[in-house]
Amino acid sequence: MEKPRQGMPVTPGDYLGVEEEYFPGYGAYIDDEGNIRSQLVGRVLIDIVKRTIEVRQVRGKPIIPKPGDVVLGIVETVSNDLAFIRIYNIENKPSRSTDFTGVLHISQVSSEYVETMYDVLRLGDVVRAKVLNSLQPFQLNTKHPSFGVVVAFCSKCGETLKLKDDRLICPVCGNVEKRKISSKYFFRW
Amino acid sequence: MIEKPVLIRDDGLRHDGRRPDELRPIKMQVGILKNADGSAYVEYGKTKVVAAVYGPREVHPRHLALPDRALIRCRYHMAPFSTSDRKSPAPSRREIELSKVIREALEAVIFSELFPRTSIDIFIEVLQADGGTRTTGLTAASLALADAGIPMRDLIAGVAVGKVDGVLVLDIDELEDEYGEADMPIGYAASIDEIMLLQLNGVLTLEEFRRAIELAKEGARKIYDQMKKTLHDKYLKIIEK
Repeated sequence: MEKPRQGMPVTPGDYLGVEEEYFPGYGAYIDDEGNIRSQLVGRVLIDIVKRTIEVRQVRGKPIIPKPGDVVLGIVETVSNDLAFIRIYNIENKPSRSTDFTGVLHISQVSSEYVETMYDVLRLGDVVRAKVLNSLQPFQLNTKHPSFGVVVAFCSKCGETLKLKDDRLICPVCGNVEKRKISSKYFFRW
Repeated sequence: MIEKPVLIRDDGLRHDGRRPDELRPIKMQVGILKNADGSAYVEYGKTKVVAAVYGPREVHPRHLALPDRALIRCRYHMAPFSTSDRKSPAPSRREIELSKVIREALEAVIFSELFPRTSIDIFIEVLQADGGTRTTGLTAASLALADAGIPMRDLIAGVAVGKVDGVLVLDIDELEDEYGEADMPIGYAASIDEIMLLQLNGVLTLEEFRRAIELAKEGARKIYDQMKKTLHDKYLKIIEK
């Protein structure tokens, strides 16, 4: 069988060596006979010092949020102490169909005291948040100043709210609304 | 009753001029659909199949989600225009069974435990049927999964072996299936040397069965090499330069 070289292109099932040679890293596995084989379409990455062998994927890997990822989502449901957020994008990841549900608890919204969820976000808002766990549904956190609402809509007329001196004002009806505003709010006065 | 056509000619070749151990001309393409995470198009002669893979994604309805691994769902479907008589687009008994056997073959190679509480959805659409649609579909689905970047133990190549007029033949088409004595579709993972799908319709003696398996493995290896080449040409050629 062909000996794997550094950077060699492989497809699933390709022989990469025997169990005694390397530790299988990302994209490699040990089959029933003790051979290391590739799981993915990609190229071989051998670390001679650590004695690991990996497969670096050529096509974007399946995107699932993991702890620490910063995500963007749309508020789907709001109750007094809980909000459900549909995650549609993970920051710094090439976009593929990402469609997962995140849960934001009132204790994770802000470092300050929050009376009710309706004071910090509303239905339809776009929220920037951090993922806390690796299991679905994903727990979210918006305590950092750059997290929170990045796009909000007026609850009276539906117009996009604009940020002016740390307040969200509706340019049509003049309505002033309360949110946990992110420092990255999109629309400014 | 239509008279039985000549399936094995006097010169030992089949009705379409192939040798008994010869495959039909095979075409493959991957990454043909924009909206799917992975996709593939496969042709075995006149049989044409498209496969699309979505996922890992959130499971709907939610209660189907498995806590320790991904849920793998598979839909094998024949387009209404795929056969000579219009086929009702509703899933038939046959399609439901084929969905199940293809799903079980693929479940055996996918590392589903890497994606708990998600689903991987596989759609196989037969555009034109001329025998061997399940094996073509399995090959296409396997390519689409690789294209979607889902970790797998191996690629699966599907191929059918049949017995017509007492001769074991590789990759049978619709005519040979209809008038032949046996039809045995096989899904074979060539690198790890495992048979992932095996069905048998008809009668074979034990000796014939052994020879049929060997013939199928040999044919599947050729298809497997072409699958690897297709993925290679699409994604890995640029790297090598």
